[in-house]
Parts: sequence; C-alpha cells; structure tokens
Amino acid sequence: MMSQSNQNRSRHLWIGVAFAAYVMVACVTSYPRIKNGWRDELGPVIAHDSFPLQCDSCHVGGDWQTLVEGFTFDHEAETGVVLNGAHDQAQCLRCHNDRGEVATFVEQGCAGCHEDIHIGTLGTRCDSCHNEQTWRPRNQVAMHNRTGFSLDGVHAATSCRNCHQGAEVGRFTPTSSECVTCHRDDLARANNPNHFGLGLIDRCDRCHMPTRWNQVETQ
Amino acid sequence: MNGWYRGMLLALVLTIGSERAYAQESTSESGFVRLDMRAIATGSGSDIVVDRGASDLIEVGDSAVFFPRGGATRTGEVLRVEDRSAMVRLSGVGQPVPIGTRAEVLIPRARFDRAGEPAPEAVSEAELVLPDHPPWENQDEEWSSDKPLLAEIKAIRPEDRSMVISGRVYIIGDGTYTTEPGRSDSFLRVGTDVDYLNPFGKGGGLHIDAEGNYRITNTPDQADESDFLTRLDRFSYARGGDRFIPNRTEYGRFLQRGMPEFGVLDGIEFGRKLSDGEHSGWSFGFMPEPDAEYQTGEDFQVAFNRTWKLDDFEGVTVDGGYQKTFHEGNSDRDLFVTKVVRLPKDGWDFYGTAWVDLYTSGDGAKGSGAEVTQLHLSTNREYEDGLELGFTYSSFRFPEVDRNEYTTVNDTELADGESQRFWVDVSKPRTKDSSYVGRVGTWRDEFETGADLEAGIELEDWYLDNSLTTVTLFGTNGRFSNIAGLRFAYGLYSDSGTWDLFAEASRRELDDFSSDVDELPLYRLRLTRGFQTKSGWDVDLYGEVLSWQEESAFSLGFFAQRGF
Repeated sequence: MMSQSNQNRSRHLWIGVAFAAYVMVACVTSYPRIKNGWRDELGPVIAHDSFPLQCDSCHVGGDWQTLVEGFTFDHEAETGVVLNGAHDQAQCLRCHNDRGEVATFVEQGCAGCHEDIHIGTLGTRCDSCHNEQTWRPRNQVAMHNRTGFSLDGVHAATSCRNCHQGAEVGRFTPTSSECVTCHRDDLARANNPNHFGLGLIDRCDRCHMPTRWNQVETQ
Repeated sequence: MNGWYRGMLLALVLTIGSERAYAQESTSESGFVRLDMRAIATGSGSDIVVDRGASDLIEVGDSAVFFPRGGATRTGEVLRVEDRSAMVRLSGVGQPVPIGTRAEVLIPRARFDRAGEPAPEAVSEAELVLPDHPPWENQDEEWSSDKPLLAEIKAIRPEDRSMVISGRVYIIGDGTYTTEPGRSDSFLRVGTDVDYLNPFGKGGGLHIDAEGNYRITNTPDQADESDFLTRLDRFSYARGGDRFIPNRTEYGRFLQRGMPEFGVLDGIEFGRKLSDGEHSGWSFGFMPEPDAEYQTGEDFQVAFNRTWKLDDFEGVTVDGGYQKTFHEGNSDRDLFVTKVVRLPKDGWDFYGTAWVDLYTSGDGAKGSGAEVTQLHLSTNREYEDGLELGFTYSSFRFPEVDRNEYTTVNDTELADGESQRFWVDVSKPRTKDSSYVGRVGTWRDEFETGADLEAGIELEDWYLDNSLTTVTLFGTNGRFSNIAGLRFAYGLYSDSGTWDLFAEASRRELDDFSSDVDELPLYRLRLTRGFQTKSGWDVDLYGEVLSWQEESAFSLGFFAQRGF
C-alpha cells in the first residue's frame, strides 16, 4: 500500500499538475482564437495569381495588409475542396505556405503535410487509426487482434506503454509475445510456489489465464 | 470624368442601347444602382469579360460603359452571365478595351427588390475619394516571362513578417478502474505545441512541443506507483526549405525531416533542394531514447539522405539514407534505409521501405552480414466504380543494437524473433450510401502462424442524417486464443458535435485449457461525445465498460485542445 509520505507527495503532484493545467487554460482561453487562424500581419505569403480579382472580398482599401473584418473563406465554395473536421479549423498557413503548391503535397496524402512520428514503421495508411475529426487513434484493440497476440481479458484494459516502451512517443515497435517479456517483474515476485526454484520460467499460459490481473486460474 | 457626366452617359446608353432596361425602369440614375467592375479578359472579336456576374444581379441585356485610361469611352451589352463574371459585347467601332479597364453598369433598384436584397445606398462623390495612402514600402519583385501579368502580388518574405505566436494546448485525462479492489490506472497529461514565426528577424521559426504526464497506478498487494514526467518533444529553430531559401537548416530537438526513419535528433540537420524536386541532406547529433522521458546524451548519430525523382508523370520518388550511430562512444548501428513511393494520377499507388542493418564481427547474436530488419510494402487502388483494393506486407526483426530502443530482447529473440503480416483490404460500394468492407490477413512469428478475417457493411445516413454505421463480423486465429465476434459502430456528425457509439461482443477460445475454463466472453461498450465550446475548445468526453467473465473495467476520460 502507498505510504503516508507517498500519499502526500502524490496529492501535491496532483494539485501542482491541476494548477498548471488551470493556468494554461486561463492563459490560452484569454488569447483570441480566430477562425482558420489568419492574421493581418501574416501578409500575402502565397501567390495570388489564381485568386478572384474582387480584391475587396478580402482586403480593405488602401492597405493590402489589412483584411476585412470577420474575414472568412469558404474553402469548398471557392476551391471545390471540402475541409472536414480538424482541417476545417486549421490555420491556412498550415497548408498554404512558402513550401510551394499545396496540390503537390496533397498528392502525397497525409505525409505531405503531417510529420510521421511513427518514423515510417506503421506504413502510410494513417486513416487506419486516425480520422479527420480527431487525431486521437481508435480501434487499437481490434487492430491488435490482427497481430497474433489478441488482447484478451485484462490485456484489453492495459496501457499500451506497459508492453511498448515507446508508445508515449508514437513508437509501436513489435514486442515479443512471450509472456515474460512484459511480466518479468511478476515472475520475479512469484514465490507461492517459487517459480524460479521450480523452473517455471516460460510457457506461463500452461497455468495462467488472461482473465484476472493478479490472481491465477489454473487448469 | 465626374459623376454627373457618367450618370448622364449611362442614362443615355440605357435609353438607346438596352431595350430591356428601357422598358423596365426610368432612365433616371436614382432608379438604378451603379456597379463598378473591371475588364478581366478579352473574348473573340469585341467581347470583353468583366468581373461581375449574376451574384451582383447583372442580367443579360444590361448595358455597360468602359472607361479606358486614354479616353474614348466604349459601350456594350451583356451577352452572357456567369455567377461571378459576365461577357459584354462592345457596340460600334473604336479602340480595343485593355484588360483592367474600369467599367460601370447600372442595375435597376427593382431588381434588388425582386432578389430580396437591400439595394446599396447611393455613394456620394465625397465618399468616393480615397484617403491618401502612405508611401508604399515594398518593392516590386522582378518580373519574368513565366509569371502572370495580372495580380502578381509581392509576397512578404519570411524575414519581413511580424513575429507571430500560434499553436495549441491540450489536456488529456483518463482513469481506468476495475472491479478488483485496489486496482486502477489513471493519468493526466498537459501539453502544448508552439510555433513562433520569425522570432529573430531572420525569417525562421521556433517550434516547441512539450508535455507533462502524471500517472498513478494502484496495484493490490504491491506498492502503488506514481510518477510525473515532463518531456520536450521538440525545441528547434528552422529556417529555409521554402521558395525563398532553398536550403533548410534546423537546430535543436526535432524529428528529422529528410529521413524521419532516423528518428528524433538533438543536433543539426541540413537539407538542400536540388533541381526538379530532388533533395539531399545530412544531420548529426544525439538521439534521445524513444521513451516517455527522451533522455539524451548516450547515443550519437551522423546521417545522410538523398531523394531522387524518377518519373514526374507517375510520381515516382526514391529515397536512400545511411545512419551511423555510436552508443556511449562505441560503434553501434549501421542502418541503411531505402524508400520507394509511386503516386500515379490513376492506377496502383505503391509505398515501400526497407531498413537494412549491416553487422560486423562485433555483433555476436547476428554475426557479420546484412539483414533486412524492417520491410513495409503496400499498394492500393481505387477504381472508377468505387471499388478499393489494398495489399500490405510488413515484417520486423529485432536489430542488434546497444541503444535502449526495444522492450527487453534476449539473444534468442535477437536471433529468431520475427513478425510478419500480410493482408488485403477491400471496399466495394453497394448503393449510393452503403458499401461492403472486408479484410483478410495472415501473420507469422517465430512461434506460430495464424490468420484474421473481417467482413462488414458501412451505411451512411442510416436512421439519422450525417451518420456512419459500421457492422463487422470478425474472427482471429491468434497465438493464445481464437476469437469470433461482432462489432458495431455508430457515428453521428453534426455542427453541434459528434457522437460515437462502439460496441463489441466476442467469444474467445483459449488454447491449451480444459473445456470448462477455455471460453472467455468479452464485451466492450464505449460512448464518445465531441463538441466545441464557445471559447474555442475542442472537447472529447468518453466512457467505456469492458467486461469479461466475472471481472469488469471502467474507463472515463476527456481530451480537450484549443488552438491559439
């Protein structure tokens, strides 16, 4: 069980993190959030040669840097390209910037604009795990079943990081499906019976079922 | 030309030139609204295209007057109207009307009434006088023959831009509690991504991605664990790599751009744009350990990469790279990475990457030689009738490295460990709003082989508009169990947010157990609600119940982020 000092430390940490979160929220919420994130000072960073000649759709007279108040851009109506979910909220400069024609990057799929934090180890079909509504992954348990190591029982409610040490930074390199790879500490603690003494150090599935966290069920 | 003269001229034109307008309205300017426009293109003969159209209530038959800079006013009649443009045929004989020439047309006020739009108030001459403009500061860019003549606007160079801070913050909380007393796992994560454009007046950008994670894991019969870790995912300054400065340099901590396969770096990367979309680059620096802390200083790397563009039409590019790493000063890994991408306009696309490790006699478990440690191949195609096919192959073997990169790997796993998967994805439209989806795959590791199969249907707008329903039957032959089950997902997307319901019921048959304990039913139910607050926060709330035999686990969580 957690000692008193650990409990105090834990409580202080929770309070500290919650306070930091509150400060961050307060600061950011007071910061203006502009649809599509465009600001006057960004200026015409992309060539306008394909734009409509009705300059006053976007600009006020006498100053090219100042956009009309409440400037919005209907991307679908003006370009025929629909922006869904998070893309509809994104800053224009995320795609339209100094790198060049957006069409060049669109052809490359997600990788044209998004960094691959999985460093190429998960292929190019980002939509297998992510969608445009939220970048948070989905269906990981279902996909894990396809690897040969299905997440049965308690494994389906376990943090990825327990077996994939790089999970927190997007690295899901395979882990050996031998039980001891992730349960090494459990094996070391198992002294009733003494697993090491009896040579019970592999093929845990001969006795243990993946149904409970700690207590074993035997055949 | 003053307003009185223009009004009289237009009235005259309307009187004698436009039978339709003549019949509808008086020729007094007070019954019309004057609309300014510009000639934007010339058509055949004496046709001129103007930048106003049906959306400005211009109609066929309206009369227009053009005012060339050199005088010699021309009149014409609207022949054809598009949404935002119209074609005017000049009447009579005269000097050509250059592109950019100012023009006017009078719109009857009655037309605004019919359209249900308020007619603009008449503009006084005083209001037409623009205020004095301060002296222009930007210098025109040099014009060359490959640039358009019109609307060539000088882009502000990165170094001339204002310093701008943008980014996002996010907060994630999750708690999982089980029916087993004293068992829970929870975390709170707070993070931010910040882009600071042009912080030093040199046109570059400072990028900071950081987060803090606080976790508590309670375990029966064991000491509870809690930790608070902060991690700096990115802290770098990058400049160049754009149309102004082809060469790109990045300093600090960042994911390598030239060859992301080489991972996050604490150092310097230099990239050089070559002709025709090709580029090359090199990097050196320390590699943080790829875990929750990103500790650095033990592994040093130098790397080179090169991209060749082989076929513009088919979009074929080939990347090659080499990375040499040193662990605590000793030679560690020689890694070659090659990548081939084919992105044709039509046909099968292709993506392939191979990681080849080169071993020497010092690598005891592998022995000297070369080994393909990672290989990913995929090809996909979408046909005109909507049929989509995809074939994917993936293989992995543990490389022999001193760097702490993989969860514990012993010599046997180094020598024999492998993971191979091959699968086929198919999606075939059934009706306008539904399609069949399927997948068949096989896997293999050093112990066994197995397979998986999924077949389902996707329905758009079933029961409610803007919804997506997926029903899937699935089965898996895994190493420790065989699974058969049904999955149901219902997503509802609207302006007020999203609802996602996910339910799964499966029966798992555990290998090597007697018949009375070898069956494990597992049920999962998850509900997610996504919405945006008035202050601009994107929020996801979710709850999940997982149940198997006599145990259950409950999860509650939230994800909130806001851009700024």
